[in-house]
Amino acid sequence: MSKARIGMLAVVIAGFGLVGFQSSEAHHMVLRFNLEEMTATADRIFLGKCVAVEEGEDTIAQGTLPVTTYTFEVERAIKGRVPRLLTFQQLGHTTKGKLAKQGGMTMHGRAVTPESFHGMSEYAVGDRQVLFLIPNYLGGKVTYPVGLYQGAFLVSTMPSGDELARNSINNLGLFTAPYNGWKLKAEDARVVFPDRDQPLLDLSSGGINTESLVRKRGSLPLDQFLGLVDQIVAAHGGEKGVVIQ
Amino acid sequence: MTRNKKLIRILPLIALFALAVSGIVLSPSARAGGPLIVNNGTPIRWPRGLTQGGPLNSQTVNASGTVLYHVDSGPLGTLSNSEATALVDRIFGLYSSIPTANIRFSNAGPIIDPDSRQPVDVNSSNFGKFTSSTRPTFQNPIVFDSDGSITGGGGVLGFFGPLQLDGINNFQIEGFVVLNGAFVAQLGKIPFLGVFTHEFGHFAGPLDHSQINGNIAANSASASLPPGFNSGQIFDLYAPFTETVYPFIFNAPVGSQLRNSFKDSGAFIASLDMDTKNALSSLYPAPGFFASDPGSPNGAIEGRVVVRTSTGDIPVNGIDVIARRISKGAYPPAPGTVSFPNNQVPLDADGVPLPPPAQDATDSLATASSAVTGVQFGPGRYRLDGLPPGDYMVEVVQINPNATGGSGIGPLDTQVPLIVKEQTLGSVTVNAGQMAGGTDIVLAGFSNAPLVAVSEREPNEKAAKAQSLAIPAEVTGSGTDQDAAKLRVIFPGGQGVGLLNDLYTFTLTAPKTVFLSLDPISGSGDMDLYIFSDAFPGKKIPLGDASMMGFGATESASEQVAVQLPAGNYFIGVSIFAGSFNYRLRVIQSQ
Repeated sequence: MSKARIGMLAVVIAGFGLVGFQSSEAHHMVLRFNLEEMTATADRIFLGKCVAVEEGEDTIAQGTLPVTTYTFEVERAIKGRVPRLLTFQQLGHTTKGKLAKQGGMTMHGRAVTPESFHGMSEYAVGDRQVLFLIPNYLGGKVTYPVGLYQGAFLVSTMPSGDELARNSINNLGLFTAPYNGWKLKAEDARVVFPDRDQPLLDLSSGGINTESLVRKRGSLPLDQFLGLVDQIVAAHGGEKGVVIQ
Repeated sequence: MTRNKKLIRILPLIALFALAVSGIVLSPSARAGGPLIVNNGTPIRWPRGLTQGGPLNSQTVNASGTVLYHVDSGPLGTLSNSEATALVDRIFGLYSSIPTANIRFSNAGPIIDPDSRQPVDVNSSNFGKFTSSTRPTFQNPIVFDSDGSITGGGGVLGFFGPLQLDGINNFQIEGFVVLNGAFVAQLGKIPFLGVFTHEFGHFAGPLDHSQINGNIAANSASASLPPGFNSGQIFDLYAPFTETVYPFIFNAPVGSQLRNSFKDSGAFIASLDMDTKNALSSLYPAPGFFASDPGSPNGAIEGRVVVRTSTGDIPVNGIDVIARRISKGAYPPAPGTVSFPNNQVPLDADGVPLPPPAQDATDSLATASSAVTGVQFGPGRYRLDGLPPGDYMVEVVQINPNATGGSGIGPLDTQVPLIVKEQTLGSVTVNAGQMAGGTDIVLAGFSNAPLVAVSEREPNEKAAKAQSLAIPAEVTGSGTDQDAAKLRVIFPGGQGVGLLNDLYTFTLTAPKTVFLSLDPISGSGDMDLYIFSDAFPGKKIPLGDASMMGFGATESASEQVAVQLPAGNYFIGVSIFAGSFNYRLRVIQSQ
């Protein structure tokens, strides 16, 4: 079997953002999350800068599995106690830039390597991200953002100096996706009300221009976005995030 | 400079359908309802003969070409092991009983622990044993993640992966599927079954997604909806005809009569549609499936999709082409048409909806097949095989812009924004044993003004010196990978940079769809194409920057980009990544 390229290309593929609790559309075989349920599902939410990416293997669940280790310098914690220098692992290797050269395999226009985990979010050194990470699993070895790519928001700085955040589906459904029932039901809502004409609670007293946030499509102003997540955490009785020195 | 890149991805520009701006990259590879993984246009398939190895010397494919899978010994959420195994066997039974396909799948027993040599309940403590990159077990394991601890708490319902790929012979040697049992109760058993009927299609082919009726049934903003129906009626008519590998499940809306029994589309994809059967048959054809086979009862349609310009047609990849038979009943069906008489849906013994009864009024929904251009047959080309004789309506439709990443359809990471989201041709007659060739489609909505011929004017490597274009335009230019460049695109993950050797600029006074095509006239190597707004951050432009509207950066010398742009000022960057070229850059906008 020397010809075989052996590895773990896990393809979280199929679609099915289940509406209702299957919201209308999402990538992969994963539920669609609105921002409130995403916040409730994550155990760590932070803004940070990726400073290291290392691909390797780790012994997980009695097997040697491909992993990517990311290190972030955390600027601000919104939920959870997060080290200033946070290191975590995700299953699979990165796919960005790994174009199938001559003889290479592709899937949906992207290079395929047996070690990649298609659909897993990825970060590059220098990226500033707001990440909503789930509790570590598989023996505490790995994690990933809520809803895979949904809970990873790349921060861009415009020439004006404005900072914007968006995930890889352009923030689709953050305020309009129904509660999927994974962590919250509609009756648990405190801030995001997808069925209402005005789906966000008025938080203007807290400095959040909710009307503006709802109107925007795509990128959201970083400070407003983080402020909103702060409010959601507080609305569910959570403590403010802490960066551990 | 690191030159080990090549990106074929737009990162933050995914799913911008709802915005004024969306970007795409065009590159040839797979087709909808076709292969999920391709190797330079060749589909990855299961081997057709004995394939075995690993610590158990077990077989993933037996000598007669049957794919053998092994099943977890544990429960699956609220389902017992026997119930869950029956579910799996039922699904593989569907894929094994397609008369026009010659591939079969068979349960080879429980997953065996390679150490104890006993059946095993795969869970979060031993999952790695069966998905290890260093010790594959050759079992095609179907894993029941009973409590969700293998998939984690992030809302993932399950996943499929090829465990071993042979890039030389283009084979999938071993695959696996994980089903998250934590969702059985939440979804309901039958929709869960539908989800994994879809998922196992990726294992079985591996098949790609496709789009025919599902996008309409979902009332998607990207779909062209039939007149005379409200959203509930559309669901009731189209959802039972949803293609199994349509990448999304959608809710039954208020007003749907079927909603009383089916809250979403999940149950309707627990059986196989014609397009999915054809897709598997195309990969594993039984004699007589192809029109070219002796005595074939089927016909085929093939052609190209192009953008027409004054200097010639440009084949376009990544366009969904659908053929619907209309000789029995018109498309779209007349208002009042329903899939099931009185919206009464008969169920089989498992509670799965039976396919809608055959009726002329819905034949255009049932007898339909699709393909995405630019896969195995050349740039911009498509071929639809396995078509029963009759007259067909051929159309191109907007692929759901949300169909990206793991939910992608066809060869592109993001989808081409069509100016006209549904464009139909007249009737094409399909006869048994014949190919209806030359069924070309010219994409509508682009300016028909003659392209303005322009020669590149150096120096143009600085933004301030970018050559101004009046579009539509055709630029002839030249360059080498040694040319000067002041701007560079930074690829993520340390994968290198793209030097922008030649810069052009244009202004839009109103929102437009812009199509760019870069092709070599002579030379060899690798050229890339970028389009970005004047809000770019400086000399170094991260590929994921908000100013980057689209790019084509494959290893090819030809690149295409289609993008919806708001009014504004834009730059086009031509990068000679490797080699030297005389090139032709064509820039066309919507009318």
